[in-house]
Order: sequence, then structure tokens, then C-alpha cells
Amino acid sequence: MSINRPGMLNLFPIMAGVLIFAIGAFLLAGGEATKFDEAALGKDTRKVTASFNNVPIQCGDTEDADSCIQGWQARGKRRLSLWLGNSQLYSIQFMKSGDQNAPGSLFRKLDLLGVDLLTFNQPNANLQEHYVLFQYLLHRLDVNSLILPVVFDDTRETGLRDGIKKVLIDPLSVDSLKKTPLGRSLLKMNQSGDAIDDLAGLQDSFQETVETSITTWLEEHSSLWAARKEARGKLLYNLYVFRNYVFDISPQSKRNIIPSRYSLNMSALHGLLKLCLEQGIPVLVYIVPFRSDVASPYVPSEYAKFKSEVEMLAKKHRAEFINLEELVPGEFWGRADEKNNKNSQLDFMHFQTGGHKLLAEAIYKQLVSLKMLGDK
Amino acid sequence: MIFNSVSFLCFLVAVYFLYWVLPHTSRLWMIFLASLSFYGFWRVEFIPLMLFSAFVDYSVSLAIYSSPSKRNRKLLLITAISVNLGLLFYFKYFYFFIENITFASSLFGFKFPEPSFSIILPLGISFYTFQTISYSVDVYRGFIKPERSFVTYGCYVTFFPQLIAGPILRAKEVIHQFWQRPNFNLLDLNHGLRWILYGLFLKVVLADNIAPLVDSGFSIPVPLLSAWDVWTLAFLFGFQIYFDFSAYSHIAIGCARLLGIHFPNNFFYPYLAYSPKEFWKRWHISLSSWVRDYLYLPLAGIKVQDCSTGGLAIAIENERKGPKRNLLLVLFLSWAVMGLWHGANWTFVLWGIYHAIFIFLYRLVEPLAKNWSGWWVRGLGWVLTLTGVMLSWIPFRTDNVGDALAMWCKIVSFQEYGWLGMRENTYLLCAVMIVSVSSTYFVRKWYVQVVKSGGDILIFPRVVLESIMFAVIISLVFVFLRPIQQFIYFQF
Repeated sequence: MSINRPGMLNLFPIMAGVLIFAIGAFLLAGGEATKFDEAALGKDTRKVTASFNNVPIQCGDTEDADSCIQGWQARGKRRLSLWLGNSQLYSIQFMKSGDQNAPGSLFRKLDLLGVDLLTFNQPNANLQEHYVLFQYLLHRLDVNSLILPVVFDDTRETGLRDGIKKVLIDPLSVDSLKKTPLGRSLLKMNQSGDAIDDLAGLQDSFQETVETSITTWLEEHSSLWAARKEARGKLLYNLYVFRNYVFDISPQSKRNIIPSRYSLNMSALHGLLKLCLEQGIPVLVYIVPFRSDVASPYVPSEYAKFKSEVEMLAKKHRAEFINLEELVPGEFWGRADEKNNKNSQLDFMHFQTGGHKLLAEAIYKQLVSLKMLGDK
Repeated sequence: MIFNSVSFLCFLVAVYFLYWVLPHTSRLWMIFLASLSFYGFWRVEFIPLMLFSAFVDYSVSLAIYSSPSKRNRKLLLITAISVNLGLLFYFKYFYFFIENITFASSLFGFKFPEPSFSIILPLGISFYTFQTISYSVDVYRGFIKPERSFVTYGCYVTFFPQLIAGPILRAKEVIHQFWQRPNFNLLDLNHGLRWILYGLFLKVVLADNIAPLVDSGFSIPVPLLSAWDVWTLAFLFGFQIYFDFSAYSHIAIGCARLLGIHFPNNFFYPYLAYSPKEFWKRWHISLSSWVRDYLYLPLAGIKVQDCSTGGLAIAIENERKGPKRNLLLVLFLSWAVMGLWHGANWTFVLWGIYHAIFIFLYRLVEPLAKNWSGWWVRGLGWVLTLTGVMLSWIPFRTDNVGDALAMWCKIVSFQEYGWLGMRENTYLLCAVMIVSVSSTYFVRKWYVQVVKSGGDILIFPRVVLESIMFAVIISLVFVFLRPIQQFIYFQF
């Protein structure tokens, strides 16, 4: 169709395309970086990680685990409670200066008893990730007790994020994982232990070295190149928002279990509890606080089945079980008026600092009354 | 070297400028050495292997051409084919062979010793061995004279755009283009850049973003998949492999075009085919044509086509009026080989056999359908072909025959349609892909018609529209360009 046009005219659309791209990149670059983990939390929610004497006691995964582990070592390797979880443990709604999250509050209570606390949380953490990360931490920490929240929502998640996938190249962790059918299955499903990085397609080739040099140089010398990751994140995030708009999806939308993922996650829970039983580590399993003053997005029968299954697994592996879903009253969830506003994006998972205090107290009481803080 | 990387783009720019600056002889040497370097960016130690394969066919072809004795010529040809197939067998099928021997011997109570060494599959070996075999056979058949210049011949075998994943080129189509001295022209530059941009878009924006959902879906144990999940995964993988492989071909064709070399098309909207025969005129055309000319037609005793277009469909049009039993056996054997070429696993053989059955059934139905007319006939053909082809991707992707059969069984079981086993986004993406891929063809067809009928009046709006389109493509390619995934056909 373009054969009769003069040569330069044929090329014009491509050249114009490059020019439009360049102008667009110039105009859009330099904006404020998006904090994607906070964007996912909602506009009134902030991420807060707990620390003690400016040393972190709350980390994410293998990427920052060393800072928490070194802090515990520096404090004299005290008796340790390990708290795994999701974003509920680091997110505070309507945060004010000085607010603490639940791990921060609990750490201070346990500190008075000479007990240490480390928390590892990732957004939408699934039980498979908890299982794998726990294997990793067992080789680096003397864990005296485990606090394990179980979140129905997160049974819809699967796979290992990059920071946890790195566990699959840790020799000690891999040896431990290979000893169990679940561990072997997770190793196989996640194939190579290398985290997916931008150069995964070039592994073991000379081109990987060359590509790394070029892209490193570009990242150091071109802000536009360095902004690509941010641009990808923004694009995919906006696609997600668009999808929600088109299909009218909100936090209140009903969400069904995904059988394959649910099954994998419950297997992981079983594996984790069994491992703790074998290691003599007492476990406190709890159903997380959940906003209960509005209609739940869960299918009631599925949610009920989930809770009884968790309780049964806990009993089977001699773990302590407690249901805290109604612990945090409505006033600590979001604004008072949003319940009656159908356009509000209700948050069922994250609460205000008052809710964190209640959670910390509830966990503390359980740990003390069940005598879970002593030596193994 | 992988196309979707910054280092390749730098390599391409360097080769492009050197190519148009150097005189002709130096230009060929530059292409030859650049192609070897391109391969060496993967593993330099496998360059001698590729050169050995090329040299065997180069020297044998010269000997074939100069030998007066038909018997000698045949022996020489057999030698060349044996060497190439021997290399392919060792590097690609040795472990597969040993596994099957071990399994078979275990049935009789024997333990066959497993090899203690590992074998790395050289990149592109399936492609360059087939290409060099086609060269020797074409010389033997008298279709071409052997190329005396090893550099020119080496450019044909190792030419970097098509070295690793095709198209599988015929010497007749390409070598003469290396003799010629193309002059730089903006048309080649324009077409080359367009093909490359389209290819990069298909790969880094579409295929690489579908891949995680496909990988996640196929990692789910089969009992936890519903029938809807099987359909969804079949379609999604079908789109992934189409975008991935056609992307490679697009970029290969585009790179060659930048240098004034014209490659035949390897894909043409295959998912819009209305029959399996039509599908194989549009999908991986160079491979199905190769199987047709070097396996199917010789085995069937039918005159060879000698071109890299048309695929196995032409073979069907030229059926000999002979014993149908032989043709059926040849059909199944050819498809089994075509399947096995893709990988050392029975799942690929199953894929090939599936297509042979599909084509066989079509041959039975086609005479009856000739009397039907109307848009609904094509529509029905399209639906049946698309669903049949997409289901064929199940054994192509699964790890074992058991899983493939189990997944197929799900779709014929009514109770497996009552639930969903994957994340909602997976189904949504599949639906978007079906609509988008289908509508792209019709939009393009409408656009071409409008352009032809509108003449010069429409130049300005066309240029504006295309400029916007390229701005979007370039922006997305820039954002998503990273070698996060190899091309799927690299593993073949």
C-alpha cells in the first residue's frame, strides 16, 4: 500500500512515532516515583515497619532479612518469637505521628519479658511463601515460637515472589525442602531457584555479561532508561484499575476460592505445622481480624469451611488456634461514613492504630497464657 | 544472541552501517563473521560444530555435482544426510533414546546403564541441519548448482537473522541474493524497521506478558483444572506461541530486509484459517514446506514442489491417484517426524499425530462440504479449525503424554464444566486475545481497502494514524524490552 509514496514519506510514520515517544517521555519523566506497595493499600493507608533503637524488627523477605537477623544477634540472640504475615501487620489507616503497628507494640511487651520478636511480612503473602521462608529462617534463627496468621483472601494467591524465590538457591534451605513431598513439589513448580530477573533469557551465555554491562551503563546515565521499571508498574497498575472500572470490581466484590491455589496453600499450612511439631516449636495459629460491620466479600460457606479446616489442622499438629476475626471493632476500620457510601472502597484487611494495639494485646495474652514464650 | 535485548539492537546497528559502507566482497565476509559472532554470544564453543555441519554439506555437494556416477552421488548424499542427522540425534535425541531404552529394558527386568555425562543442546541445530540437508538434496536433485565460494555458502547457512529459529531457507531463494549487490534504498529500510518493530511488540509486549499466566496454569496439577481451564490454557498458550514465534520471524525478516535480503513470509494470520489445510499454509510455512519436499513427497512418490511456501497443503492438492493406504502411512509418518523435530518427547509426537488425524478427518469431510455455500460454512470451518488447532497445543506444552491426555479428557466430561480453577484475569486475558487477534485481521483488511480506494486524499490521515500507532508501539517496546524470556523455538 505504500509502494507509490516517496521514500522519505514511507519512513515518516516511524520517525514521527519516535518523535512523539521522545516528547512524551520528556514530558512524563521526572514525576514522583510511585510507591506501588502503598498504592495497593489505598489512599488512607500507610506502610510502617517497626524498629527498635533504629534497628528493624520487621522485614519482608530474603532481600532485607539480614538487617532483622543481625539486630536479633546484636540483642544477644534472645528467646525468639517469629511472626509471619501479610500487609495487615505493617499497614495503618489514618496514621498519625507516633502510631505503632502490632509488631512494634508486641515487641515492646515481649521485650519486658526478655523475649525477642521478629516479623516477616509481604503483601498478599500466601502460605507457600510462609513455608519456604520459614525453612530459610530456621537455618538462621533460634525460633522458640511461631505466630501464624491465616488469611482466607491470601489462599487465592500462589507462587513465590522474587525475594522468596531466592530461598530456592540457598543450599541449606534446598536440602530441607527436598526432605518433604511439599518442598520437592515447590522446588519443581518454581523450577530454577533464580529469581526472575530482566536477563533470565540470557542465562549462562556471554550475551548476559554484555547485556548487563550495557543496561547498567544505561541505568546510570539515562534517567529515562532507569524509569522503565516504574513505567511498567504504572502501566500494569492502570490496567488493573481500568479492569476494575469496566467490570465494577471493588473490595466488596464477592471472591470465590480458586481450588488449585486453595489446595496448595492448605498443603503448605499442613507442611508448616508439621515441621514445627517435628522441631518442637509451639505455634499460635489465628484467623486474622476482618471487618465485620459490613457485608463480607467472602462466600459464607467457603469461609466457614476454611476456618474449620484451619482449626482442624492446628489441632492435628498440636498448634494453638484462635479466631480473631471479630477482634477489631468497626470504628477502627476506615472512616465512619464510608459504610453507607456505595462508592467507597472499603478496606477489609487494614485498620487504624487502635486495631493494631488490640491485635498486639490479644497475641500477647495468648502467648503468655499458653506459656509459649519459654525455652523449647 | 537473543533479539529482544539492547545488545542485539547495538549489534544490528553496527552490522547495518558496516554492510552499507563496505564493498561487496568485504560485505559478505562481514556478514559471515558477524553471524558467527552472533552465534558465539550464546556459546562460542559450538561455532565449530555449526561450521562442521555446514562444511560437510558444502564439500559433499561439490562432490555430488562433479561426480558422473549416480551411485556415487547417492552415496555422497547419504553421507551428508547421515552426518547431519547423526549430529542432531546425538545432541537432541540421545537422552530421549536412552530413557526409552531404559524404560523398555526395565519391563524385561534389565537395568540399562545411564550415561554419566551431560549434553548441551546447541542453539539452532534443528534449523541449520535441516537447512544444510535441503541444500545437499537440492544439489543432488539438480535444482541448484553448488556454491563454490565457502563465504557465500557460509552466509546462507549462518545468516544471523534466521540462524537460530528460521525461517528455514532454500538455497535457491537466498544464495543469489548474496551474489547481488543490493543498493541502499529507503523502502527496504522502511519495511525492515516496520517488521522489526512489529516483531518486538509481539514478543516483549504480548508473548512475554502472557507467559507467566500460561506457566502458572500448566503448573497446576491436572485434577485441579476444570474443562474451562483446559480450553483457556490451550488458547492462551496458542496465542503465546504464535506471538513468540511469529515475532522471531518478523524480526528475522526485518533484519534481512534492512540488508536488502528478502525472506519468504513464515506466518500469515494462521488463526483465521478455516480448515487445517489452510492453517498449514499459514503457520511455520518454511518447516511444513521442508517436511513436504524432503520427506512427505519423496516417501509418497509424488513430484517435489521445491519452494518454501505452501506447506503441506500443496502436497494434499497434488495427491497421486495411487493406493491410499500408502499416502495415509506417509501422512502419519511425516507428521510424527515433524512433531519429533520440535523436541525429544513423546508429547511432540502426539502433537504431530493429532494434526495428522485432523487433516485426515478434513480430507474425509472436504468432498461433502464442497456442495455447501454461504458465509456460515466458512464461519463453521473457522470455529472448528481454531478449536482443533488450539487443543493441539496441549501436548505441545505439557511435560508428559499422561497430562496431555488427562487434559483432553476434561473437555469431553460435562461435570468438569461446573467450576473454574484459575484466577479470573486468566480468562479475561484469553477473551481479550481472541477478540483482538480476530479483529486485527479485519481491521487491517478494511484499512487496506480504504487506502486503495481513497488514493492521495487519504495520505495525510494515514500518515497521522500510522505515526500514532508507531508512537504507541515504540513506547511499549521501550518500556517492556528485556530478555526476560527466550523465544520458545530456541528450545527446538
